[in-house]
This record gives sequence, C-alpha cells and structure tokens, in this order.
Amino acid sequence: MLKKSLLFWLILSPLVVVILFPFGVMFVTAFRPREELFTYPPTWTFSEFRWANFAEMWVKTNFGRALLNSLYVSVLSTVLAMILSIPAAYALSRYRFPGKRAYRTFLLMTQMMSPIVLVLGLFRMMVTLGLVNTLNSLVLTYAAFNMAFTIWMLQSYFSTIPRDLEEAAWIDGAGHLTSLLRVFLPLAVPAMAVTAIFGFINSWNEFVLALTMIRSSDGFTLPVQIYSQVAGRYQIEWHHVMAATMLATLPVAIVFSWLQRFLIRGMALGAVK
Amino acid sequence: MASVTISNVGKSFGTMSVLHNINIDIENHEFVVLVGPSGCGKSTLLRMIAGLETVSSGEVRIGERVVNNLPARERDIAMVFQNYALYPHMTSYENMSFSLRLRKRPQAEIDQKVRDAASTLNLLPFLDRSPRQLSGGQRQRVAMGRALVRDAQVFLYDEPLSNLDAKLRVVMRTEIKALHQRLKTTSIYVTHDQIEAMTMADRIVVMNGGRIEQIGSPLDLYDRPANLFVAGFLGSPSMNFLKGQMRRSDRQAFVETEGGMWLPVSPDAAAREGQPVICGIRPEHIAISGDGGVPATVEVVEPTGPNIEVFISLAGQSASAVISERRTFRPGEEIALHWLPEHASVFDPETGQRL
Amino acid sequence: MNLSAGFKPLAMILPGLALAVLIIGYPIYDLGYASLHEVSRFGQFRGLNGLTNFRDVFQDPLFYGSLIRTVIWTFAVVGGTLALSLPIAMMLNEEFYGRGLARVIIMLPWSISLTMTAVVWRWALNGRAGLFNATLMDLGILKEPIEWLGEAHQAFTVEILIGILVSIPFTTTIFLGGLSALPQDSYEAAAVDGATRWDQFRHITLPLMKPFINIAVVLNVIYVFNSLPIIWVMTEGGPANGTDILVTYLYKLAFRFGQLGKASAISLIMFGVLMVFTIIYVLLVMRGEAGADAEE
Ligand SMILES: Nc1ncnc2c1ncn2[C@@H]1O[C@H](COP(=O)(O)OP(=O)(O)O)[C@@H](O)[C@H]1O
Ligand SMILES: [Mg+2]
Repeated sequence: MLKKSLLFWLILSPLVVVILFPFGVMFVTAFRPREELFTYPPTWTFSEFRWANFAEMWVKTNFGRALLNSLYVSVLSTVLAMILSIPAAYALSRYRFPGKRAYRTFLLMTQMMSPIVLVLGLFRMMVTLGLVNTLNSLVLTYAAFNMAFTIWMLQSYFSTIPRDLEEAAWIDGAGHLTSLLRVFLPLAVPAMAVTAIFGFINSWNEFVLALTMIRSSDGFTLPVQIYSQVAGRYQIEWHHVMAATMLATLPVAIVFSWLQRFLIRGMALGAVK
Repeated sequence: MASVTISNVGKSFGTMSVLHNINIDIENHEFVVLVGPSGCGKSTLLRMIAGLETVSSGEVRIGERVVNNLPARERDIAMVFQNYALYPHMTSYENMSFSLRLRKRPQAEIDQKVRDAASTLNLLPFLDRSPRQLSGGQRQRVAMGRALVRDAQVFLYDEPLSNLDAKLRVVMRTEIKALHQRLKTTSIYVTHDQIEAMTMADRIVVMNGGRIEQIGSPLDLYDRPANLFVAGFLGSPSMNFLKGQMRRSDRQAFVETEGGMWLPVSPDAAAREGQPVICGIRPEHIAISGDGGVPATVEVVEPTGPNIEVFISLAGQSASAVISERRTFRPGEEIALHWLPEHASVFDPETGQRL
Repeated sequence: MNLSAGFKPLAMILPGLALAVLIIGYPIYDLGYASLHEVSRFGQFRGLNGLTNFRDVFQDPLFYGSLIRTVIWTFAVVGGTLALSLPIAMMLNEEFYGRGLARVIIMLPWSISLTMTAVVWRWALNGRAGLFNATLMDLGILKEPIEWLGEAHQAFTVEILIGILVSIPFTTTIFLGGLSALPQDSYEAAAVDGATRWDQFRHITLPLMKPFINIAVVLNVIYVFNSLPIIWVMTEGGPANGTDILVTYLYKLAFRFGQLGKASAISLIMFGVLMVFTIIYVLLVMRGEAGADAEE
C-alpha cells in the first residue's frame, strides 16, 4: 500500500504541480508589494504580505459592485432554474406521460447547446425584449442553459427515492401535497442543495454571455470585471488582478472541493449515462 | 371491518392487458391469499384495491361503497409493502404514528395506540430508532405496526415476508395468522409462496397469467385442484403427472401408460374409455413396497429429514414419491408403488381441466 | 405509481420547457432569419440577400484558417484529455494514501472559471515578469526567458495544453462514475483465470468502459469546440488572427466588426456541426438506456 501510494503520487505529481502552479502565482502576486512586480528575474519570494493590496483593489476595480452583481445573477438564476426544474424532474422520475421520450431527447439536446453559438441571436433577442445591459437578461439565460443539467441531475437523484414511500403516505391518509411535503421533500433536500450549488457555480463562472449582454461596467459580473482589468489596457495592475481573482475563486473552489464527490455519485447514478 | 367485492375487474397498462375479468367476493373477517407465479398480476390487483392503480374496467367495492374513483387515503385500508416503505427520516414511533398525526388525533390516543401496537409486536425497545438502525425483521414489524395502529377496514399485504430469511419467515407467518385470529380484520395477502398461502389462508385465490385459476379453501384446492396449473402449483414436491389413456372395468378405473402399465384412478373421473388423459398423483400419497402394485425403478434418493424423497422412473416417465418410514433404496432397484384410487386425479391434456 | 396522472406531469414540465424554448429556440430562428438577410452593423435588416452571407463566409480566408485551427484545437485538446484522464481515473479509483486529497486537487480546475484560469496563466507566462519562465530558469531548463504568447504557433500550443488541463476534471469524473459501476467479480474471475493486470485492462476495463469513453469523447468535443474564454483572454485570437478559432472569429465578427449577417451565417454553420455531435450523443445515451432497460 505504501509503495503503491508513493508510486501513484509520483505519477500524478507533474499534473498536481501544473494544477497548483497558477494558485501559487495568484497567491504570491496578490500579496506582493507593487514595486516587486516587475523585478527581473522574478522570484517566488517577496518582502512582506501587503494586505493593503486587497483594500486598494476593492476600491480601484470596483470589486464590491461586481461581487454583488455576480451574487444577484447567480442566486436568482439558480433559484429560477430550481423552481422550474424540481417539478419537471419529479414528473420525469415518477410519471409516464405522452411525449416523455421526446422531452428527454430535448433535454439532452439543450444540455449540448452552448451559449456562444447562439450568442448573437440571444443578444438580438434581449435588445428586442429591452433587457440588454440588465442583469435580468443573464438571470434568464443562465437559468435556461442550466436547466438541462439540473433537471437531469435531480431526476437521477429523485429516482433513488423509492416510490412506495409516497404510496405508503397516501395509504396513511396523506394527500398528494402532504406526502410531497412530509415524505418526499425531506428526503430530496440534500440532492436539491447539491444540484443548486453546482448550478450556482456554473452561473458564477460564466463569461461569454456576461461579456456580451452587459455593456456598462456598473453591471459587470466578476469574470467580466476581472477580464476588463487585463483586456486592452496599457498598464495592467497585476497585483490587483490577482488579488481580485483570488477573492473571486477561493470560496467557490473550497465549496466545490467539498461537493465534488456528489458529482461523481450523480454521474454514477446516471447523470451522464 | 368490511367485505371486499371485486366484480369483472380488468386492468391494462397502455395496450398491454394484465388482468382479465377478475371476480372475488371476500367476506368480512376473512383472510384471503392471492397466490401465483411472479408477474401474474397479484400486486396489480392488490394495488387496485388499495387505490394505487386505476381500475380499467369492472368494479371494486369495500363494504357497500364502490371505491373505483376514491383516492387511497379515503378508502380506510392499511397496507404492508414488500420493501416495507418505512419513512427513512422518521423513527419507528414516528413511522407508526404518522397516519394518526395526519388525522390530527389527540396526542394521548396516538401514544396509547402506538404503544399497544408496539407491545403486540415486541417493538417497545425500538421506538426511538430510525429504520436504518433496525434489523430486517424489526423493520418488517414496524411496517406491520404502521398498519396495526390504524384500525383500518381492510389490511393489504404485498409479499411482506419475502425479504426475510427462511426461519424468520416461518415465525412471522404464524404471528400474522395469530394477529388475524385476534383482530379479525379482513385481510388480503399476496405471495408467490404456496406454503405461505396454504398455511395462512381462509381461502386461496390461485392466479396465473392475469386470470383466476381457482378459488377455495387450502385443503379443497390441495385435494381437488380444478386444473393442471393449480395441481402443479400447490404442494411441494409437486404432483406427478403421468400420460396415458382411460380404461374402465366394473367399478374400477385406470390410466394405461404407453408401456402398458395400469395406474389406478378414481372411478368418478368423467373420462371416456380410451380418451387420452393425464393422471395426477401427489408424491406423499404413494407408498412403496417390494411387489404387487405398479412396478417402477429407483433413480435418485434424497432424504430431507422427516421424509425421504425417491425419484423414480415409471414406464419411461419420471415421478417422485415421499415416504416417511426409514428404509434404504439403491439406484436401479426395482420397486412397486401403491396408492388409493381416490387420491389420483384425472385431467384432460387438451384443456388442463379436471375430469 | 401509475396513477391516472393525466395532464399533471405535462403541467409540471411546461414552465421550464417554455423558458428553454424561448431562450434557446428563438435565437436559432433569429440567426436563421438574419443569415439570409443583409444586416446593418446596428442590426437593421436591409432585405433578403439569399445565400450571400454564406458565400461571403466561404470566400473568407480567415474563416478557413479558423476552421482548420478549430479542428486542430478540438482534436488535440480532446485527444490529450482522454489519454490522460483514463489512467488518472483508474488511479483515483484505487485505494491509496491521500486519495481524497489527490481527487480534490485534480478536480480543482473545474471549480474555477475558465476566464480566471486564463487570466492567471496569461500573467504567469509573461515573458520577463512571469513566474513560469523564472521557475524554469531556476531549474536550469531554460537559459533565456521565452515570450510564450508572442508568437502564434507557440501561443496556440500553450492554449491547447491549458485546454487539456481544464478538461481533465470533468472527463475524469465521467470515468470515475463508470469505473465505480464496474463489476468487481469479473476482475476476480479474470485473476483466477490467470489474467495479468494488462490483460484485465484490455479485456475487461476497456470494453466495459467503452460507453463512458464514447460519451466523454462526444461531450468533450462539444465543449471544446465551443470554448471561447481561454483563447479570448490569453490572446484574443491574435497575434494576427494566428490563434483564432471559429468561436473567437465569430465573436469578433459579431461584436467588433459588426458584420452581423456573416456572423449569423457562421453561427448557423457551427450550429449544424454541433447538431451532428449532439445527435451522436443522444443516440449514445438512448442506446445505453435501451441496454439498461433490457437488463431489467
Ligand atoms: N406500471 C406498470 N406499467 C406497465 N406494466 C406493468 C406495470 N406494473 C406491472 N406491470 C406488468 O403487469 C404484470 C403484472 O405485474 P405484477 O402485478 O407486479 O405481478 P406480480 O405481483 O404477480 O408479480 C407484469 O407483466 C408487469 O410487467
Ligand atoms: Mg408483486
């Protein structure tokens, strides 16, 4: 076992290094004093932890605003997607109905549709709807594009909750609503939470639509705000950019690391199969 | 408590028809077992009585009420599921009291009923445990308890013992029967196990391929099966079937096999002289001696403890006999078989019906 | 639970379906319409012009350059990802010390937006100030710093490698899902029959994993084919359009150069390609389900 572990870690080590490398770069750049940014040759060490970088960055890059925008868009689109997905996933896992096969095919197809191919049409649609340059345009599109994933994931979890529990509740005297609320829901909440968090992360990280729909910097979400700090600029304040990147990614990365085993389970259950 | 009447009931899923023209009258206090091979539609019928499946045609009545369009919760029935269907997020107590809480019974009454049921089922020490922390047998009891607290009109059971090991199954079988003798609640019990059916039922309904083959008391069905299916399904080891032609002389009747062997059968059998028939004789009705009787050859011998099962070849057809006396047989040994003619049934090979 | 469900399930799927049809269906219609019209840079339609937009696209050398690079990009990233992910998944599926940690690290790139990953790498790969060169020089691998993103071929190669890196977690997850479902007893039976580890891999793992490998190929092809952020953030398709793939070229046409008719035509062409892969994917999934149904 020890020998095997060493061997495996040895084989994995190049990959591990390459994965962790950008985190290291992010970290040392974010904390380093500005003067040490362009020393040549660059070094991994630096003279002091310059916490002030974060405070400066917060103001200069309008980080708070972008954070709020990202939160608004991600929370609302996730809530919308979940509200629409939960009944659909329940119907898929519990009922036979005409057109079920066609509907599942449609879901698979929308799961494959990427925003980029449709982005021009989407933009024109939002112009027509008068939603361009509003965060709600992102809420709608993120919800629509996330739904295929959330429905698929939810229905594969719902299918593991035995139907006869609900049937037993009906026989015990519960109506449909009561059996949903008191028997099904308590058992489904963990799966819903996990699915919602993955949907949230997807929205949090989205770039193309946010770049396209939002024209004024007040409405930028975090990825676009950070991108705007490096795109087409003469002078890039890399320590601010890295500080912002770190703040924007670290919480998500931690939550994700904690949840990734659910994703594997979801796949084994048939999210992909 | 109530009677249950099933009249001309049929069921189809889409275009597939799984139950045809089912008629059963279940009396108040009766314990009726639906038995048949898996896939024959027993669960579907039970679930239609419960209100978990719609009735495609015909009528289901509980007491005087037609319940076809009544939702499960208004039928006043209790059901024990094959996989127990215990609510995993509730303790045993909460599982058992759920229906009473839904009906908003006073707390004192709930407590009283749950404790009564729990003491009947020896569950008192486990009331605070969640289903995950219970053994298979204990879960089964909680599922029973959930039904018991209800004072329902009818108890429905869908193979409630099939997930238990063989020993526990026998114990629970007796307990359920004792419980019914005490409470006398009308019960409908589904199983594929003919021993469960024989031991527990007031009346057995044998089903096959979505149809009823025969209804009757266990011993009626055992002694006078209406057709080859019922004859073969009930009893273990199952009835021997031997092909031949009907022969009559005076008051006696025989079935002559191809090898010219004459098998005594009941003279009441309504078969013509020379008609091709099947003679059915239960293994335990066969006695073995050295000579006289029907000659046969021993092939394999299997002692089961109380009995010895002897597999034999009789005029080129295989059969078996079960005897309880202690004696040894050698494979290849020539023996003679005896039975009482009234123990041998005669069936029509075309229709399968008893003659 | 086969209740006379009636219209209830339809009512349950309808609201979500309506949103999806609106947000995904309408733009497809709009793109189709626009691709057949002359469109001003402000989005006004100036009348039907038949297939002119498509002819423009097919006469554009930049389109062909992007197309070829799209093919290279897709094949290289998907091929590299698969080649690395299967062995990684097989290792992560075994018990070893620190497996939990290894899983977390390897899944890490998935949690981070591609935009941010690309921003950090762009900085790390900076010629004089970047830590990548510095580290390689410290290790004695490089003598002189290299301007990694300064020249198109080199930049494109780097982008492909980063593309592989960020695709590994998803692919590994699919494979782990598949491996966890493999029947342990076939390995035991094979071991009893005298199969070596390599035999087991070739004759058990690979055939049983084939459905998962198929799905991973198709899904990755679709995702990679559509991936904009890495190239957009690191080089914006430059220098001199040398790292443009179809999506970056499309984005420039639409939102930089205002050639909306032509951009619509490219969108539709890409949509067609995507449809082919999607249909393959749907068929694969449905076949897998038909197999699973038959087993029941
Ligand atoms: N919901 C359903 N949809 C379609 N066919 C079903 C459904 N439920 C049961 N069946 C079919 O009806 C027949 C009877 O099933 P069931 O009543 O469960 O049999 P049993 O309980 O006797 O084993 C089987 O052929 C089964 O495949
Ligand atoms: Mg059944």
